[in-house]
Amino acid sequence: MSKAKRVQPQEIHAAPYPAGKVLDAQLHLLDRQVLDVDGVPVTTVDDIELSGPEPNEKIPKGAPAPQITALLTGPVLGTRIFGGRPPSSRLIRIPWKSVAGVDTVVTLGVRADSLDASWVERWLRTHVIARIPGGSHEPE
Amino acid sequence: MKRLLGVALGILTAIGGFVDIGDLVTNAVVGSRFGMSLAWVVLVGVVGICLFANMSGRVAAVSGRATFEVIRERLGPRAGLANLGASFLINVMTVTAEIGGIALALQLASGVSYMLWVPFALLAVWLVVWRVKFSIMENVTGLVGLSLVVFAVALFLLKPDWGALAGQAFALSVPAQEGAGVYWYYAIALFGAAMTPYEVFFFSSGAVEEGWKIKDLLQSRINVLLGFPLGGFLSIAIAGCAAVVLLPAGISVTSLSQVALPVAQAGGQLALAVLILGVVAATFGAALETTLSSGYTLAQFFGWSWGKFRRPAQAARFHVSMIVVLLAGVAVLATGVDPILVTEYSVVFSAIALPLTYLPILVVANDPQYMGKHVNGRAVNIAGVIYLFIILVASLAAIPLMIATGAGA
Amino acid sequence: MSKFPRSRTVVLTFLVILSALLTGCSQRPSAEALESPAKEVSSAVRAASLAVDLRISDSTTAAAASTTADDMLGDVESATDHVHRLSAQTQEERVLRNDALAAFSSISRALLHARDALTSSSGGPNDGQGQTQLTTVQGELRVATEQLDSLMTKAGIQ
Repeated sequence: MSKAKRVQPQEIHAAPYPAGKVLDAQLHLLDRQVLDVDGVPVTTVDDIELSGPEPNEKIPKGAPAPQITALLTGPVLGTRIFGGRPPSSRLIRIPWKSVAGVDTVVTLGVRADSLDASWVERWLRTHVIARIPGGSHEPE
Repeated sequence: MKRLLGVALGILTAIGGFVDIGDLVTNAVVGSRFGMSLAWVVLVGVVGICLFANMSGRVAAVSGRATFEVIRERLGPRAGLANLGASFLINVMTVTAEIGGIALALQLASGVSYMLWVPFALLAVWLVVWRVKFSIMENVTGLVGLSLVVFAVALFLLKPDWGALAGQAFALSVPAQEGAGVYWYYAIALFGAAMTPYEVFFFSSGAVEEGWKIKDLLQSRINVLLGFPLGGFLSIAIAGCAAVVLLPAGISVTSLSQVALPVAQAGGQLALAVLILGVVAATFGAALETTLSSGYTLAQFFGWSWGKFRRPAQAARFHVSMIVVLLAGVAVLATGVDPILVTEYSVVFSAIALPLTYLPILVVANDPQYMGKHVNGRAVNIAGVIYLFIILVASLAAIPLMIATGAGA
Repeated sequence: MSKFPRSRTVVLTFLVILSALLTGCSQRPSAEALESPAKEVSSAVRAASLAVDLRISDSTTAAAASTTADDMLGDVESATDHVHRLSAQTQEERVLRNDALAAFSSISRALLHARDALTSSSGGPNDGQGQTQLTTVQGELRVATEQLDSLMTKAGIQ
């Protein structure tokens, strides 16, 4: 420990001044419930996608800080449990611009049905539930 | 007046909803083999379920979040998934046992083999899950299940030597004809039956279904604190009936029909009819609760929309997964496996998985981000930690004891 | 780090299961090996007797009582299967096993009769013929119980 190379003070830049609420991705985003604009559960935040350099790539000086581009869901959860990386084309994204708020749940500003993330729900609704009598009625 | 009625209704449904096939079978087996010497376990279990049901109800009412959402947020995906796997497996086992219980009770009523009743039971359970409103479902099965009070009545009619029964209960010793390993194995089974984790999933999700707010907490506390102990009293009465009639006769319970013998002896055909009604209602109610619980746990882990307050079309994945669970349960029964055996294993596996459910609840109930000023008080936390220790010991001892005793044979 | 202990646990578990299977197959009909099936059958026949008694006094229904008899028949069958699997080597063991099987089979027969009588006695206590039938069955169950009891005392199973 004591032999570690000391970082020269002039190499460290101050953290950017937070413009608003400070979020810890691990603590406040990952595994949180996502609700749509009507309060209907959509999914859970299984992973997040960042802009900017790939892992192990050299970061050029003065590059803009990475930003969250999308919340990810679906099979990507498996990679967080078992490791590995899915191809980018297989990711199911909820674009960060449709996120309206982050609290104990993440709220979106759009309806669930307009998102790719709800395709299983929509598929089961039309192919299974709608074919069973009573599926679209209120419980009595 | 209306409020008082609501409170009374809540308590009655809590009593009727406490007993399920696991409690019925385990208590009767224990009563017929160990007399009242394990009654203390029911007591310990009831205090535990009161403590944690209350806590999960409070978490749900204050934060609007049900147990399993919170489990994943707190444990992360890996431990959360392991937890989901274990809880889901036990839920499916319990669904199987409860549907088997409905069918066995109908066989007792009709004399027609239970296998023929299984599809009927499946259809009835599914229809209620599909179409009936949450509150109606809860109140009807709870109130009809209350007819299991017949066990307590039967115990009085049998005019037992109360002193001797109390003596067995307070002696806290292993009966001479049974080994210590078997005694502790059944202690764990009884504990698992009283503290079944599905009750907690169901309780917290039910609080969200019924839209509890902080002001409803008092009523839920009354329901739990009066209803569950009285339900536990029913459990002890089941063991008592078996201890008075079956133990001296040298009969150890292996089937539901034997559980009914003491009641028939005490109260004749009328009592028997009430008993069968009660067993059908209790197992039916529990089948609904466990089916819903397996849907709740899956949906809450993956963030699907869930709940009976939505139309099935608005909770498609939730409803499809429940249909799959019901079919899986019936497929297990179709192999001809004895439902009583499934029940006996399900309560022991429940005991094994208990820490998985109860630890996250305790953690979240102390988290101000979710709970604000409603975090656990000091006394509740001390009790919670003590119980977590008991639960952990029971969970670790269960499998070695199961192997050593040949599952209590 | 974790690789070696894990494979060792797997091997150990396997060995435990294997040894359990082997001892299970080659178990011999000692009084100890007979204890659990004998107790199971003794409990079953007593439960069926109680059901018949209750039916005679009209305390229970034909459906419930015949269900009990049927369940108990299943228990006796599984115990019989268990004893069949024990392999006798000495003359003494063979005698013990055969005695047990004989006792089980007379109980099985009595239970079958009980079930039939209970199913057909839907007339209740006013059905004179049904009552006589039930009393006969009750006697048969009692005799079979005594046979098993004396065998258990002889073999030293309490």
